[in-house]
Amino acid sequence: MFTSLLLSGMALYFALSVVNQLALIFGDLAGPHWWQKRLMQFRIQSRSLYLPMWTFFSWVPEANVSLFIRDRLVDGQLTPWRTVKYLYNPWLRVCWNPDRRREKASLQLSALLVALLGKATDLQSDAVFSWPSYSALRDYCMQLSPSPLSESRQFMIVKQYFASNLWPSEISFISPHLPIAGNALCS
Amino acid sequence: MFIDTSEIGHGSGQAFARAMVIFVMFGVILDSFELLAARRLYAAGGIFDRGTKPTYQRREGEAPDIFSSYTRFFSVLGVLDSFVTYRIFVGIICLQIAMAVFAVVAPVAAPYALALTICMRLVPMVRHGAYGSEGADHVLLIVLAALLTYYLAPSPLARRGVMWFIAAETMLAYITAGVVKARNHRWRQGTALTHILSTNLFKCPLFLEVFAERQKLNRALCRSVIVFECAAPLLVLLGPAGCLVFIVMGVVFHLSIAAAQGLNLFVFAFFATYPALLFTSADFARAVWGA
Repeated sequence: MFTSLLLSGMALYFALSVVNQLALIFGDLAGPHWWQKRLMQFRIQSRSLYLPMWTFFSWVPEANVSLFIRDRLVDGQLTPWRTVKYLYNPWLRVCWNPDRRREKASLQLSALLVALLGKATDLQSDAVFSWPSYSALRDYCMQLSPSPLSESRQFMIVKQYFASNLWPSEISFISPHLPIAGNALCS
Repeated sequence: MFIDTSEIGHGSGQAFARAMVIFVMFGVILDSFELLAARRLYAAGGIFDRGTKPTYQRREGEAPDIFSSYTRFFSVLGVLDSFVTYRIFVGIICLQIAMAVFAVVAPVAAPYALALTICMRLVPMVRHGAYGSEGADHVLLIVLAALLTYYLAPSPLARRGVMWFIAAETMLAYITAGVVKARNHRWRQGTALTHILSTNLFKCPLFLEVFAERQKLNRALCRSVIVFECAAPLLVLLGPAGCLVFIVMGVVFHLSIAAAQGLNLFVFAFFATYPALLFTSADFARAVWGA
């Protein structure tokens, strides 16, 4: 009895996994066929089942999203923009790469903020500052070590397109100057 | 070392399950040590600070779908989050290492260690949502859960069923990834690898130098990845010889990805499934081809 239940449970989970993969590949709410819409609806409704999405290493980015920061010094001068990126040893990272989750999270948040800005219509001027992705990015950028004698910091998200020669990169977002608290101690 | 070859295609694959436990637990140990090395990211002010996590999880107007799958599932467990402080989080990661070592050195304790490890691996998901997580986490969790089911299974038939389940999910993973790539013109044309390796997340100057001006090499590599992934079920179901060919290619494939993209956890996550592939391959060949 227990064996039958176990086998049925695994068979059911696998069958749902197969349908989820079909939905990933062919599902489309605006597709020309009724089954494409059904597959997409299945994918949306089955999120809480924690079904796998086996599309490893298939994602090809349209653009490279980069996060930059710069500081304003107490005398009003601005430091050059510098990229927020993690340093890694290319030889070592095959077996040791502890910073990859941080890098991924910061880029996911940057991409999410840009995507939301792109979708937003009738946006009030300060609405973006209450968005969670903005708050999380702000907190993240503010805890990176500041330049000596800096009083505030800005962050910027830049998209660099791979396929376009006419418009290779664009500034997607620039934050206002955010005061750095207690920088005398940090520097 | 771990696998008795006479067991291939026979019995319930205990030696294979043991090999899988060892691979999956090495993955857990590596991941836990990496989390400990980057533990400051999980403290106050870090990008995975507990205080900012509820903001990640809140649906942000028209937030893209990919981020809400974890959110919905774990919002039920959200109450746990308020108890998982930074210190407790670090303690849980240390316990994971202890459980993984325990499972490797003491086979008798494997079911208990597996059950506890599953619970502890859910904690970062509860705490941080989908941000910073990767597909390897999902593979590890499925393998851990399947192995726990294996040890709890009441009969040899059920244990064989678990082996078949892991193998089936693995084959599904490869063929899905292969089909998705085959449908993408950048993968077919051979520009995908240079694009991926140019991003900040996966930047690899060493590989980019090699690929930069070699269009034919790019195209050949992209297409061979598609063929390799789509051929997974065929090679595995042909029998142990075909399966071993696939496993050797898989080892090279995942080590290359770890070197080029820094996705080192995938190595252990997928290697952990290979014993099940081999067992199922032999089982299938015996049943169908009479080999």
